Amino acid sequence: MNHPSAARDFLRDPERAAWHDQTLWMVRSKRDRMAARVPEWEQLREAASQIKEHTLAHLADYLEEFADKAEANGIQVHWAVDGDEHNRIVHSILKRHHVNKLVKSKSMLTEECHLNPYLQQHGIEVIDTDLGERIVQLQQKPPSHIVMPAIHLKRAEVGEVFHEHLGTPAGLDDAQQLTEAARQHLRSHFLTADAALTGVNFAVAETGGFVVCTNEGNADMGAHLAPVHIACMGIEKIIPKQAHLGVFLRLLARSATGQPSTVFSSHFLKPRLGQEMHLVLVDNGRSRQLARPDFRQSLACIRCAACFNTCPVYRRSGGYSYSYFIAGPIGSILAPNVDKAAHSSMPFASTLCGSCSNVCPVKIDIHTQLLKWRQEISQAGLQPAWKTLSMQVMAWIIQRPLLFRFSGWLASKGLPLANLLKLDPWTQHRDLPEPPRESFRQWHNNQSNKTPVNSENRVNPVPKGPTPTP
Amino acid sequence: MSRTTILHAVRQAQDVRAHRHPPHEVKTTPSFDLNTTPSLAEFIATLDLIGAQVIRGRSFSEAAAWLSENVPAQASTASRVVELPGTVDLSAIHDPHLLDGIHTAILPARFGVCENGAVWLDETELGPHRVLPFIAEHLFLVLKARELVSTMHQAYQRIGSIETGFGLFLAGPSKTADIEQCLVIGAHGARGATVFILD
Repeated sequence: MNHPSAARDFLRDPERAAWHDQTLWMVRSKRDRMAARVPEWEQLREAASQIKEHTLAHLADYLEEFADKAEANGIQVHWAVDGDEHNRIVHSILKRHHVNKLVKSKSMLTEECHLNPYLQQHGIEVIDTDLGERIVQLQQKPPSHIVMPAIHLKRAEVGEVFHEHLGTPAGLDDAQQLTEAARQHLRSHFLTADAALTGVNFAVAETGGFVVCTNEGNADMGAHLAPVHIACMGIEKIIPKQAHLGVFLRLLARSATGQPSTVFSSHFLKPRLGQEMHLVLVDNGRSRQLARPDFRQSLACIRCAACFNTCPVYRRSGGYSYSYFIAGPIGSILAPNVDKAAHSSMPFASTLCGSCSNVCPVKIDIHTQLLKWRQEISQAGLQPAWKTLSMQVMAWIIQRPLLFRFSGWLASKGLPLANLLKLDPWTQHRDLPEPPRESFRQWHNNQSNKTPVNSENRVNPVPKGPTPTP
Repeated sequence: MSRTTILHAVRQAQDVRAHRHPPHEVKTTPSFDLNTTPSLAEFIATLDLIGAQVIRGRSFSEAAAWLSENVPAQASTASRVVELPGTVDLSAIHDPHLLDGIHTAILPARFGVCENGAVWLDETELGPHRVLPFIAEHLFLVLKARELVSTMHQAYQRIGSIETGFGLFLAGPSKTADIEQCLVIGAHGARGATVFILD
């Protein structure tokens, strides 16, 4: 489904839409407060941006350095060209260890590769262990937000899910008690899992180690108990040096949830005694995106979702209105690289206000890339026919001065009618402003008649404004 | 070989000339605040903000007194601090799953970070069980008051190279806000974290 129709469904419940908007705005406000407490915030963003840009320009070398160091540390490194290969690698490791149950912490990459359904088809039970992710997994739904997967649900709805699946009392809607129920439920899985899978926030080329950040402690509960730990990462997660973590860890949690740091920032370098540690490096279209100069900077993303929380369109349309599993502004510039036709409406789900670019901790020019994708999508003929047609009509009209003037006159007269009939989707919730009494052309002609052209005017030919009539 | 395929594709795609900053211009470590002095008051304020409890004392006997008051007598405790022995012999445990049910883990922290309230521990402090600070119901972290750095930049400078296989920044008790953005302390890890600052 395209974004406008899915968003229309979301907006059928205006109260819920307003609640969603406010909840996310609260997170954005927390981010602002945290950012304001760091005087060198802008320098940090610039440093992060430069480190990422530098890394992407030398990615192959850093990947080799990272993989070699990781292997020297006793981590088994695998490479996957695409999602299918990634899934096959993970499955083969699990099969070798006769794994029946896998506990998984949040990994957007495995979501991207559709790992869960693949493993379930092969008879492996997959338990998502991030609380929000577990809630949507029990609902058999994808996350609606990459950091807060169940942000679209109300307490009572979580209560219903837990009542059905975890046997909590009907009608329970206390967040503390619901979380406690999930803690007990998931702890039993941590204690009985045969393997653990985690994502990777940062991989350090210099050390061959990787960092996983969580607040709940779920990644570590899985990884330190299970005899097998598999970490999956996109090839863009590399940073050159350990010292660079200082920059990124200062930015990540402040941007994501408005915390000074995540509760746990775990640095994995070697498997523990008796444990097997695997790392899967996945391309899946990233090298393709790297080859597009206009869009390669999108690979700098550290998945903090600050752009989601600030986006006026995301806040008012919800994660499920986007056709790609990464929603929001960053999803809208990543998705067309995966499938331009399937996600053709996503780059249009934006006002191009630029707020996303302003909060981005690695300074990705998100709104510029949204505009560039719009151009590519239009040129590829993937726009709805009415949009293409209306643009052609517009082009035809503005090439004919008389017709253009007549259309202007007609529009100014027809505006009240447009507001009345609510013909334009834009006027569903607001009125178009009153048309001015005179057109710019009329005003300009009046000015020229009033003021004689002299040298002073030539130096500064732009009049300050209409001369007040006495 | 997928390694070769991927590296080849990446090499084709990465275009050094198209990037704004030549490699030598990239500031590998931003130099802006490496000289700030850490402040104990800021560290304590941050711990308060992130939901950790702070206790200050002059000796380990004060820590022991706090523990005996706050940890039930029959509860099992696991300690990596010689001066504050626990009830469980960690060296005798070979399967980390058996640590489930530990009431309080008593751990030494190497240093604290003022800006975010995190403390650093690697396997030198954790011992053989990486899962200990996650599986225990409560954490009691012992930190010497002078062992502070102000920011994460100084923290990594201080760490240098991590000599063990695992290291951790730990900032307060585990928490989640996944249900309607309501903050709940005690997700999968510890339900409470007490930092004992030894003056």
